[in-house]
Amino acid sequence: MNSLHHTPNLLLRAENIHKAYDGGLIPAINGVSLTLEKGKSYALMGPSGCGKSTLLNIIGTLDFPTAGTVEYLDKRTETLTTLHALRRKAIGFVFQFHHLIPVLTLQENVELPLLADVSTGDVLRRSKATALLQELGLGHKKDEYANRVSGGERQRAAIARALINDPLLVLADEPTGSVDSKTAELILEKLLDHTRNVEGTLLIATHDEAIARLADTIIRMKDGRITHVEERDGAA
Amino acid sequence: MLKILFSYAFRNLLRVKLRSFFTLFVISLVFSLFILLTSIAEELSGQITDTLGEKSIDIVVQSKFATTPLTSAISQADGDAISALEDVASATMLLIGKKRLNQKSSLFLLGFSDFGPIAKRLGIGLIKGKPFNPKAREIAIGQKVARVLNLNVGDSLQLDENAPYTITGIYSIGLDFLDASAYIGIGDAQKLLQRPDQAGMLFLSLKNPLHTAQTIASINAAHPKVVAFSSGELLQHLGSTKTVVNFIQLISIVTFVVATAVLLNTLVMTINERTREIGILSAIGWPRRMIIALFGVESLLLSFAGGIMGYLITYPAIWLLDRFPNMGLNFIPDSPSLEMFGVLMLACMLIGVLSALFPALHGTRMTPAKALHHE
Repeated sequence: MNSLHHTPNLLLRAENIHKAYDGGLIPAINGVSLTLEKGKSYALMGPSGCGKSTLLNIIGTLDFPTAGTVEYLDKRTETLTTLHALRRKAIGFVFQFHHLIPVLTLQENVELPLLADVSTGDVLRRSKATALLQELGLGHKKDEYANRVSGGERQRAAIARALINDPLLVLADEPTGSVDSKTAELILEKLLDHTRNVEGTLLIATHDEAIARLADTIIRMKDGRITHVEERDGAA
Repeated sequence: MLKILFSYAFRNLLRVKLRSFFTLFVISLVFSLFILLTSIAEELSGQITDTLGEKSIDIVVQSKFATTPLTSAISQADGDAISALEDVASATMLLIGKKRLNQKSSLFLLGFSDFGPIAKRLGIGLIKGKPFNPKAREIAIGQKVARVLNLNVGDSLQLDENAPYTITGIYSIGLDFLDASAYIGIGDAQKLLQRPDQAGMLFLSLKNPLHTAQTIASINAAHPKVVAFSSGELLQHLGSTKTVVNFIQLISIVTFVVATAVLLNTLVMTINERTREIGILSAIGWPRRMIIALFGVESLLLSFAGGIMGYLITYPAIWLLDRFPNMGLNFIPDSPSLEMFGVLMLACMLIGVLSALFPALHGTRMTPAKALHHE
């Protein structure tokens, strides 16, 4: 897991990542290296404050490391001038608290990433969003405003938004942390299905051991470091 | 895509309805004030230049350093000498002064050496009665004087301790300051205004208008106490009027700055409150320019709505001001011009873009992770 050798299925490699806040006074990640392969799911576990979210942000190009490099398909992300395009086309982010736009309907929220993509026409954009919402059991709520539906429905819509571009890499930060068990099950099933369908990679940060056991690999973190990597056979 | 962008921006404006309403309210008032002031400035300068510009008056003469026609004083000798120049086809001397009628009202007295021809050239039309006879204590009044003072043909007007003047006619020219005046012979005006042997201005029509420049040069060379200029330059030589026009235009610019500041303030608050939303949009792959465009659309919606409302508010404002002629607001236009609407829309675009640009550039500078955790 921490090795730097080339793997044919390599999707992302993070090497010696450091991240500190407040001018280096508050270290969050200390020298983490990892590789993520296509077609595999990963669970990132660890206590609160161990650096899981920070690592997800850096891998997802939402933040920059203080030191170290991230390579996506052998391209160093810090050299890319259009990080937003990488985020839009290749990475799907699921946040713990959905982060939907309240004044938009669920359908419009799901369409948002494709709005920035001029190559996707209106019809395709709408039909993709509608189909995803239906798959997640929200077909009847697609025209509801995001601030008028339940927390579970919002999170499902957020999953649809993350998947609308068929991203190869899905990063989910405690995606089931604020939903009931039934919704959690549906969300995980959808995320794992997507990973299998697009031969992509799922990296999910969680506290829940049961959720982690669904992944192919469990990565445990503590105090900004990876402490243990467990390859699992016969994961979901 | 544009539909969603506009719909998104519109709904964002409705998020904090009260703030959007007050922003719109203030911008509308400010724009309305801008239209009104600019129209007044245009009307004021337009009336002055139009009065002479296309009325076959080629040259205007006034005393040097005079800031208004009221303070200009040309001696009879200078006036006679200039009128006798070979190139001059006709010359009319004018003396203007303000005459108090009683404690409440006063009017402008316009004393002409030769009223008939100049009235014809200026388009001063007799709408009632007949022209006055300068030798018979007769006077003509503008229609505004007649309306405000409730005077009619045949009525008397007491201007001094001697016998009153008889009103023989009511004139109309469509220019407020002339319609608010009384017309009289220059001799009577000199006595009433206590300015014997003086004229305020001299209007010259030339036999050959192509000689205007050389005639001006020869007058200015031969008569050091006066200044001659072409009629189109009248406004530049009326110092105080020019100052008023410039001052009004300056206030118009200030209204622009105020509108920009109000909108900028709203956008700064909006963007600060929605930093997390900027983080979301950035995280899902919206390029920075698109996020800036979103706030630009919001800003433009506000400024254009404010502009259109401001333009519409100007109509009742003009109507209201017109109900109070005693306020002395003589240069209120009948309605705001369509040309002004075009200028306003351009201004709205400029203000909208400028107001959104600074806060949006600032708000989109942080990383998506930092924006997402913004409180």
